[in-house]
Amino acid sequence: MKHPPQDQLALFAGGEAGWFESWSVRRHLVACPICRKRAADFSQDRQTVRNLSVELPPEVEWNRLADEMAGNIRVGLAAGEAIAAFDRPSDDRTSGVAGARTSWLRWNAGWAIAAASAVFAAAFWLNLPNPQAEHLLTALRAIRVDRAGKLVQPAAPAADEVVVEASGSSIQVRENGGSLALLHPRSDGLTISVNMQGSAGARYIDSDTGQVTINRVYYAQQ
Amino acid sequence: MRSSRLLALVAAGAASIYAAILPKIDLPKDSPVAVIGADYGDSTETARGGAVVVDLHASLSLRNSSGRHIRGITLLVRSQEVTPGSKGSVTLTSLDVAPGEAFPVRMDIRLLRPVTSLGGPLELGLDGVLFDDLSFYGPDSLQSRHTLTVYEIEARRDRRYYKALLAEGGPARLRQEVLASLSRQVDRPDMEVQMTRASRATNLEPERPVQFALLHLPDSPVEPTEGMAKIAGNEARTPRLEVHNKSDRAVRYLEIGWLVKDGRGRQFMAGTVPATLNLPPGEKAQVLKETLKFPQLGGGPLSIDSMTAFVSNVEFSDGKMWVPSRADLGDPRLQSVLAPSPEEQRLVQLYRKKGLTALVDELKKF
Amino acid sequence: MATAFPAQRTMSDRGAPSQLDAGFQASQELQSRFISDNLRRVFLLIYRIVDNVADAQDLTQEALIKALQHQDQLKDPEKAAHWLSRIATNTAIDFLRRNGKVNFCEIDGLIEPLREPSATPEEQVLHNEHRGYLEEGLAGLTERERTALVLRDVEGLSAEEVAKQLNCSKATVRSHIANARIKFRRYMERKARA
Repeated sequence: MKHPPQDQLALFAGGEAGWFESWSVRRHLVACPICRKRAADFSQDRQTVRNLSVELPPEVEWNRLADEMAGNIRVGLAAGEAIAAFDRPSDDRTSGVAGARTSWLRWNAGWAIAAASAVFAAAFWLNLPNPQAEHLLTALRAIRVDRAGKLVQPAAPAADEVVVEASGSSIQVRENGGSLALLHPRSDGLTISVNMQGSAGARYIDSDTGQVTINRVYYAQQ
Repeated sequence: MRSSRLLALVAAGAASIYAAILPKIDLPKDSPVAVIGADYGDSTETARGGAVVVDLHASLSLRNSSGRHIRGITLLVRSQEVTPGSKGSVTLTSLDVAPGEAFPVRMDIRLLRPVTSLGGPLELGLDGVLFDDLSFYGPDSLQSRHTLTVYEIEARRDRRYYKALLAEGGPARLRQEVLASLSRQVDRPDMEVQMTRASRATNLEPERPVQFALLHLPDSPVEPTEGMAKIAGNEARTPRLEVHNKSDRAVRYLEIGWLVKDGRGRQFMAGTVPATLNLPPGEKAQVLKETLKFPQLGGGPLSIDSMTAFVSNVEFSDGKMWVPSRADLGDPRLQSVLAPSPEEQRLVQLYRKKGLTALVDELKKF
Repeated sequence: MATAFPAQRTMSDRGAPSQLDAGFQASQELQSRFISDNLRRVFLLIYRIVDNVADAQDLTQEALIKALQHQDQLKDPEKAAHWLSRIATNTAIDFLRRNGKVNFCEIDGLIEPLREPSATPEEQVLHNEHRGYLEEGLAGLTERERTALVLRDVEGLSAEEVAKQLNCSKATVRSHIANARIKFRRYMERKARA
């Protein structure tokens, strides 16, 4: 008995086989338990794929990811609306107070456009290990700002004589072969500040507590 | 000082692992906050090559045992064995903790010490607590009274500003401003920072005199009048900066902000320099004494092209403080490089996470 | 799932703040609900096509922004879910075309990607357990096969609709689907033997 090729059975199981192919396979299956089992397996696999497709990948923390995406979508939409207000033709605008308000809106929408487009030129995007910044950038990109700056590649960090070092993940002070570091792993909106007489700080919003937290390290001046 | 050692919430068999990690928490008897819980669950101590790495992940629960609302707190973090002269701090600001209420403090600390060192406990202490009436409690060894008060005054300024926008233009106006703030935050050229003790200037870089550019904020009670320094690499040597007290009150402390343009044309906020002085009304004074060392940014050596000085906050002798107004902050030279206040950052983040309604509700609380 | 779209309010529609605050807030709430109702489904759909969490996050955001910005193009609100799925899959497919430089109209052979030679059988088993077996099964497919399979078997599009989505012939799409099912079947048989 000649068995139908695998691809025909696979398509038959999903209903994509042509009329003649389906008729031919159906006839064969009546007499062939091996192919009947195979076709049933293909059919079962379709159901398996459907059932499993609603599962999240194991590495995903869904609540956090959803919060972040919803926030970025909100920002992207608001930015898009600001630009839409900027682009609206002049006959939509009324005079007087409303007119003054819309011309103010125009200035600020223009600002938002300039700021959003200048995002591309900011070197810190490359330095920030926090992927949230990149996802926010993508949300802003969705409004198709057409001015882009040039990304600047940072130089390799100097390793010698460093006493205080602040990065996207921690701020630390080194002394006598030891170091004290304050980490900010669950942070949003990191800001680094420097007091040039011996300290540096990393400010962020703790993404779990929502608190503004500033980690600071101080080094002894010589 | 009474010290208390808190037990980690771990099985007895694992307690020995944590004996070297558990911090010693020192709070005075009359402290306005009390530690009511501590969890060091994921903390570890690991040998790595010639070093021992202690990773402390602390979730503390503190309670406001005073009769006033707490607006900010600074905890001091120290390890005398690992970094004898150096220390760290964790500050929470933009709080609103009612009397009797508990609040969390999370800290993730990593200590790295050579294996030859004996190692010692990590110490946590209280440097200060700021209340809603702007009174302060604590030893204030880290200038936290000044810092927390500046943050609180900025917070009140920014909340007033956002509430005014809401009143005059509705939620859409508020959202517009929040979005503009967010754009500025993502645009600001904030990069990784290193600060060194040793000079980065080399013999190949001769000193050159540079006159400071001065940024006058219209509302500032103190203004810079003239300044210059000899620039070599990332140092400003023998700096001179004169300031004039335009107000009718004596000034005892101020902070100078520095905007720097480097050889690559990048403009950024390099840092601040504090100055303690006694400046009567109408008088002038020199406020810089030591060489200014600018941090390296983005991992590369910094070469200063030009510097701009401005007064970023002032403390009067009567304890009152001045911070720039929102109008002052609108100066384009500042707007693109200055970080938002902690409260502005918090409110913008609240908008991002929970939307406009949540932001409006939050503003109504104050 | 059919979800009402939030009414789009523009800046020039705004009158006195006190009159419109309630309407504006209601529209914001509808928008938030639309996002929360559809976010997971759209994310999973895109993730199954692009097979990367970070890319799926960005593309999900992009798709929902596009949908909310162009909601006036939706004529029948009952078809909102279907319409949103089309936007999502188009976004993912465009991404693969641009970044993966995938040509959906080329047909792959049935040769499966090589495994890393250094992984021992024990390591492979452990890796599989951690990863989840749909991930593993789909990871063995090419982008073309995976996309066609997801659109057909998960989204329930007909072969003609899949062909339209991928801008290919129906015959090409049938090849992708057949190859995908054969490879997935082989994977399931290997799992059963392990």
